[in-house]
Amino acid sequence: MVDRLKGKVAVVIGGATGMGRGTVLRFVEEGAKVVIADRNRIGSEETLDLARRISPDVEIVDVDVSKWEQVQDMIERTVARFGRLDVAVNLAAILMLTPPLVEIEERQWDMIMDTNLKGVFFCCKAAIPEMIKSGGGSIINISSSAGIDSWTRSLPYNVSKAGVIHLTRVAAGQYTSRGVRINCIIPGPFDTPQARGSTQSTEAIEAIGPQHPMGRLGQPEDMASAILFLASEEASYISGSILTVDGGARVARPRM
Amino acid sequence: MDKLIDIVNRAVEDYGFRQVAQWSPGDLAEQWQLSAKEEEVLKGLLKNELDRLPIPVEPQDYVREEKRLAEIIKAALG
Repeated sequence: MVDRLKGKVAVVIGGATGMGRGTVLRFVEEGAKVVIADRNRIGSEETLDLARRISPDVEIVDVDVSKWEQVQDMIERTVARFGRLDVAVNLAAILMLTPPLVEIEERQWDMIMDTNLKGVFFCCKAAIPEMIKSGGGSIINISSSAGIDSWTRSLPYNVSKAGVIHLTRVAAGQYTSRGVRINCIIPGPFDTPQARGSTQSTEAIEAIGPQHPMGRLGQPEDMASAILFLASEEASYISGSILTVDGGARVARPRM
Repeated sequence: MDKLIDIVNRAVEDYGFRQVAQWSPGDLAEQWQLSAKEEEVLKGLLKNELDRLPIPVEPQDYVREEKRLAEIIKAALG
């Protein structure tokens, strides 16, 4: 299928690598004009190069989502370049490992929260007014299975991702009536640079696939398909929803 | 110097932290209260080194990488 986003303008925040890159490429294939927003310039340029092989309507904006002025600039530049904003995907996040609660440093807490939760808040805050001006839009926030389950290697990450889920619900309650659909995806185990990095060894991440009910880790393309659905008119009656995309990992997990 | 070594050791062992060091070194300079010279080394020499590290650094390589980066820091800061 093609052209499901024809004429739409999207900003993919965290679009430089992994799921973000997969989403940028899928959106471009489906006819969207896309801004790759990330602080990883090297990754953004690699994604841009791949996307421009499909369409010229792709740009890069450097952004640190924890900085309000930079987020405002990102949205302003998107609208200045493409004339409107229809879709925003909030993928920017860091998974920093931390010790147990008592030993967590305040700066560790702040770094994780500033990117993962305040960043989503800032991006929604900046994007929603432009979407309302465009007659409506779709925001897709990416949480994590750590947002609903306890993953003991980073308490702040868990809490930030739980916050993304609830931010989505409340914001959808506030803005759906004004034409802005806001949904959240909870990814399970995916093969991304972030996942490889946080697993801390190639052996450890490669051990996950065989234990998964589908026998493999998710790929960025799997996530891009789910994001595309929520961005498209096919999901026009969906807002405030939390969609799990984990290949059945959570429901198949043995319970203690 | 010790603050920079702390930063690179964390960056070697934790990819999430490494991303902050690579893409928002100014934030780390503020949080770790680095000197101007230390910040310059983080944003220049060390950024280039962090960009080239594998994802992840395997646990058996931590000590080697951390020693190598510490030597770069010592040389840069005199």
